[in-house]
Amino acid sequence: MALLEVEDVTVRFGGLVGLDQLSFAVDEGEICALIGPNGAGKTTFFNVVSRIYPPTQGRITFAGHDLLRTPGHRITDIGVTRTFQNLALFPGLSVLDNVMVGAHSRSRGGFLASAVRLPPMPAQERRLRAQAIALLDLLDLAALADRPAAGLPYGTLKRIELARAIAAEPKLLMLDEPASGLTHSEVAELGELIRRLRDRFELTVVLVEHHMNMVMSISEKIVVMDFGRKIAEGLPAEVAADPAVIEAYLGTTS
Amino acid sequence: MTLDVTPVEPRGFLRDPKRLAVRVVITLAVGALLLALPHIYPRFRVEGQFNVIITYAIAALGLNLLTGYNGQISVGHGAFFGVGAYTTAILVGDHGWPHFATLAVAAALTFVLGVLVGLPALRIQGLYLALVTLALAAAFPLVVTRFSSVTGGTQGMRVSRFRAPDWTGLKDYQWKYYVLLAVAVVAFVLVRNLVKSRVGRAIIATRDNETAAQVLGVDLSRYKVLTFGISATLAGVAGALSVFNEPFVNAEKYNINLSITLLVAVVVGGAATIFGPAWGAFFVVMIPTWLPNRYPQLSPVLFGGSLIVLMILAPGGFLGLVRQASGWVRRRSGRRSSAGPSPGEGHDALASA
Repeated sequence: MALLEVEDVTVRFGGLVGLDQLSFAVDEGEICALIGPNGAGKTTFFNVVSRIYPPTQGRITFAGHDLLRTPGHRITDIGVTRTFQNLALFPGLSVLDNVMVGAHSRSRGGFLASAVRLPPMPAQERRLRAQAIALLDLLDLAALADRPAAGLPYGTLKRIELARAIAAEPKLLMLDEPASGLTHSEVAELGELIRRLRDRFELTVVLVEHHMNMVMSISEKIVVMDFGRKIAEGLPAEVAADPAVIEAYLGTTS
Repeated sequence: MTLDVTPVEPRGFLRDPKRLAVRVVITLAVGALLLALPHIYPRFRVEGQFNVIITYAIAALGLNLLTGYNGQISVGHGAFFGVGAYTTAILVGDHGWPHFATLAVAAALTFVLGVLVGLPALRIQGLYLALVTLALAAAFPLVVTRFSSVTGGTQGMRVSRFRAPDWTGLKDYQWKYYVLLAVAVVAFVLVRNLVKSRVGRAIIATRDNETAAQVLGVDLSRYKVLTFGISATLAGVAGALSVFNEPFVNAEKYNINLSITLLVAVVVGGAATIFGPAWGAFFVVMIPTWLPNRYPQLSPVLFGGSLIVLMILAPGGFLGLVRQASGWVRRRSGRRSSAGPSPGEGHDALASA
């Protein structure tokens, strides 16, 4: 059953076309990779789904919700979350607090309740904290819990961002180039980790990635984009043999 | 699908009985000192310095929530301070209200004003916001002068003094000190709770990365506007309390200088630290009194110069310096006992409180 359905989505920035009538669907529990040359519109698509850019036209349905009518700060409520290509951590907060911000949408309490510590607040805080620590533990980050989320190795920061996204307990996790900047062995580990997290937290994963080995090994479905359009879609093996894909990546001799 | 919860050990200072003991001792000592001050020092010091420090500390606490934690610069908090001061002055002076009742009105009024300024602030950021709020600070004395039939204008207005009730057995200046201190303690505790809650994390997350905060579910407009409102409220309450201390208001008391002084207090004390504003208020009031006063014309220059030196030595403000120093001491003592510091023990008891 399709969890995410993208129909005919177009984004124009002035005269530039970011996405051109993009349509595809992602099934529940699937790991779907979005690939394509730089500038193909992969990150633009992420920004549309996370309600940063409004699309010019099209429909996106997520778990029965009309996603394009959901305000940006509500997409976690319906189960969508993401990571960013160039890290978007909060350097002024500790690693633990970063992960706890991930749980913002599934916790309650406004300014007044927080300032006077109304009875449910401390208990909620303890629960969120324990969950965040458990999550850090799972990602081998527990020792860094109290450190500021800055000045750590790039791969570590990427894992912290992953932990923060999972803390939102999403149905759909969108990863924007999770392997960029990682060493060769880290990339292999990351592929394994994404699979494990998918199984453990019953996630559906959409990822944008350039590391073809990882994409081929973990994806159940690949969507190939070029110039904002979908040029191929299918199983990894099908996509790899598709002439249009080979042309987009390698060019033609004609 | 829920996240597994494994039992966790207490974190931070609670894990370490020695640090907990140090903290308790420091808190008790500071508390005792603060309670003893008006009995140790004469009236002119309590009224002219300590009480002023307390009101500035409350206003800077509010400004720090906005500028330090939320990243919205305001160079106009003197105006909110002034609105609070005039609210108390007019209600007590012209309408015979009891002092305490005016606090609620000053708080409500400045909250609404803060929200009204916070709404357009959603569209302007950084230096532009600084300029807009600066205009607010510049306009306030003019507005006061324009409505001089109510405010007394540049002549000012004198209101009845805030007297100590007989049962306390205290002199007026001592009573004022304790009332101001009590409000300040409540304000600091509330802001501390707020900063260390999900709301506080959202406020800081918004400062650090708006896009990521929104994607994670933070309603940016709501948090920014309410933070502005609460920040203005604290400045307003501080202004009202300043009239408890000194029962006189006039247009020039709440000019741009006051706004800048509050901002200086935040930065000098240590932006985005809980107690930074209190230290900052202490420094902005006390430094001028420490400087040689043989040439009064030179005082502002010396004050400015000392601030420059302070910011070069301690770019993170006073508490930033304390934190650095305590981290250094801990690392050294850690090396001696050959037990390296565990991550997360990098902050000082006072600074992280």
